[in-house]
Amino acid sequence: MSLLAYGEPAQSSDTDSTAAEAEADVLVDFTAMLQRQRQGDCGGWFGCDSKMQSAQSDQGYYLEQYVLGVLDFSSQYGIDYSISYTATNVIGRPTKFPAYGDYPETFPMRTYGDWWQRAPSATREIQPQNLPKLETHDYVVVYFEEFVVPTEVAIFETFNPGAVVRIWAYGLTKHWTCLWEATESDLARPPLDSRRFAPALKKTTMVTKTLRIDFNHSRLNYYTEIDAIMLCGRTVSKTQNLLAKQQRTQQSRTLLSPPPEVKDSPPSDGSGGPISYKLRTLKFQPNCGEDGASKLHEFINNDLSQFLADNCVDGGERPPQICLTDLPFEILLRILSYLDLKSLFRVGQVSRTFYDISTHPLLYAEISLKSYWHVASSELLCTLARRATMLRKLDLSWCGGFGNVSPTEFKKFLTQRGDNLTHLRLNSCKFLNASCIENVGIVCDNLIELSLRNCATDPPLLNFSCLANLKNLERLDLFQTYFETELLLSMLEGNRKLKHLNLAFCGVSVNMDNVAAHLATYNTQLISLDLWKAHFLSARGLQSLARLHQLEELDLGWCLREASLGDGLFQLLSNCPKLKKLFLSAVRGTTERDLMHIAALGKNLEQLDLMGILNITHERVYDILVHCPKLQLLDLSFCDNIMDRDFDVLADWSRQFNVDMKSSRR
Amino acid sequence: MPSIKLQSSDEEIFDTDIQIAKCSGTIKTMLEDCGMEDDENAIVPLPNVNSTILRKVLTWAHYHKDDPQPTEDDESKEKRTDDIISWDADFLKVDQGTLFELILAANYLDIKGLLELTCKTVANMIKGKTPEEIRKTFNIKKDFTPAEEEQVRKENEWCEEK
Repeated sequence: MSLLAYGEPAQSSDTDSTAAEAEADVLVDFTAMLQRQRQGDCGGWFGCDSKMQSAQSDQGYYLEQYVLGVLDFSSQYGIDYSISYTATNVIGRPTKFPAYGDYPETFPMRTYGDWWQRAPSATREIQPQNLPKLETHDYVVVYFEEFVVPTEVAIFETFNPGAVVRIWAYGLTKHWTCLWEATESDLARPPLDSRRFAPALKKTTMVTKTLRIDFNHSRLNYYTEIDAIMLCGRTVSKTQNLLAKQQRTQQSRTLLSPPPEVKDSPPSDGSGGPISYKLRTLKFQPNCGEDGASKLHEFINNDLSQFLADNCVDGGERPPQICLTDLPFEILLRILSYLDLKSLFRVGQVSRTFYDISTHPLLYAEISLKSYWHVASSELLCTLARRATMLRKLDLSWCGGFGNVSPTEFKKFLTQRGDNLTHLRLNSCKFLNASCIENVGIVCDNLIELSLRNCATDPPLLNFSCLANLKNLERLDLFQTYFETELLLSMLEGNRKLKHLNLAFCGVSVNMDNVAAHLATYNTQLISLDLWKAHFLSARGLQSLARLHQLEELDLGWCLREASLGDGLFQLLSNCPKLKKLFLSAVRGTTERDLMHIAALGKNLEQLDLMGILNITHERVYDILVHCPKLQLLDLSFCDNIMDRDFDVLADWSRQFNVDMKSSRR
Repeated sequence: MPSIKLQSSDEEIFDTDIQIAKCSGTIKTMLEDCGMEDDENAIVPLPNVNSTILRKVLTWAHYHKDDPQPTEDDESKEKRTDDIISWDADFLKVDQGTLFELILAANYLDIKGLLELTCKTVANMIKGKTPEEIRKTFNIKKDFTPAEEEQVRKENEWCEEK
């Protein structure tokens, strides 16, 4: 994570500022660009050259380009000072495609399947009715060198394809447009092979060089890996020209509609069939507005029968029916409580009654703008602050990129509505600054959950002792966020009821052994602890963690870099009998003896990750399968002592014990 | 299986399996409070529900008699409206008047599952529509003053398609 805010990418690299200059100029250095493109050509795989066309003065030319830089991402498997498994691996042309396999040169994210939702640390979505059918679990925002009118976006998936659910483009008009959205059938498991995924995009005249790709991992059998992303389209030599053209197109489209031949219908000359006669006798006058013809058409197709029924046109034998507005207030309130935020606002535009109901504070006890990250703005926050007088849970994750939400407005909102908040999620919020965090600490003293995932910055944002005011936290999530050890220690001391703590990818400056010792002293209620890639945890820290008797979930992936763990793991397993999830990915000090302890003591284990542990043999695997009856997931990827010839046996065991076993190899 | 008699507002008698009748919180309480459970001939009057609606309610209750009681975990699911099973969707292919009367009946009879289902169905009729389409669907008149309308439009700017 290199950028806190989505600045103009032009300032972030030399090549890009060249591009920015080129953009401002009328003339683009076409020869140089062609050369760059040739260098970037991937051995003729995609026929870049054949698609290149000569420049045409006002139409621009067709261009295929790969990612120049990553602006943002929600999660990555690797850590950002490494080159393995990080988001920046999507930059440039494919390095592995068309090969298929688990390669560190690609970009995987932190999850797959539904294992995370089934773990003790799982959380409930805030205002879940806002979620689209295929919700987004992760995203990556990338930028390219040249503005184009997009005609194709190709995503090179080199491992477990099938997670891409939406493709967004950020236009010159400073709006996000969804160019493609997956349906259920798109997600039907594609073959386990690499693919160049280029779904048919929505036709658009927008100009873009920034894309956001949304991922949904729920159907995946294992991590998906993205090798590269390509944006294709027609360049624009004169940006301004095109903007003007776009506006003209829009204008002419408005002028064209409604189609002239139906503009005057229904005819008022007394002719027409029985339906139009009925309509006339009812003094039917639909609000035609601009596209009256299509609205009338729609009405006749969808709602006419209802309309006729409602008005007893079919003979008038029925008793008068009740209407929506006849329902009592509390039932209307209940109906509206099922609406997503957008529909709730829209229903408020229907009539005064509905405005009053739709702005009722009870409908705003939980607010999540996560699904509306692309339209969330300071103005919206201001409106919501007026309505949400009973706010308890707030999720502003992913909001505020490109300056749409100002830190001042956020602070104003918190000052007005923050004191009763119990849940606050600000994951990947681009508007957060130190003073915002300070405000959270001062105002939101009733918080039970605070989630600040992916707010990584250097120097750390969380260096304000104000957060130490919080005393009621049961969940603290600092995934991929840097913080100062002192602040965390005082927070742990202050929040004795803490149940869930996520410190995955925390900065290198944090002394994890101190944190573990603090946890063992003050936070004995802890249920889940994620220390994934928190490198500076040693066997001494592990001893401390063994004193957390309530632990049900512990992620020690890539921690404990020592040759031996002593008897730490044994202590942990004996003292924490409730452990359901234990991740020991790449904990190389795990010995055969430790594995025997897992089999002997892990009675409640459901998810066990032993990825990259060299000492495991198929005998130990069998031992664990036999003795851990609740086991559902066992990751044995890169366990090099399990021979290829054992794989058939493993597959048999997987069926026999009904355990999902992963055994990815390079 | 013991049964009881339910009487609709238009005085039709419905001989009903007691377990099915008890999915209604209102009937359950009546039976328990009045000690009517063992009385085969007792008649429970339901003056707020007519026979057409009561018949539909009982059809629904019969189909759902083995449904598990909702647990706390379902809290988040409850707000989603894309989980309506196809039997329920077919069951609710009725005109708006009947749908609203079913809502009132489910509310009066305190049948949580049916109330939730019917309210979700109406919510689905609202979802994704423009204000004008909602007005048309439910035959509602716009009664804002121009100033009010402008104010609401401003608040809603963020949800206009761009």
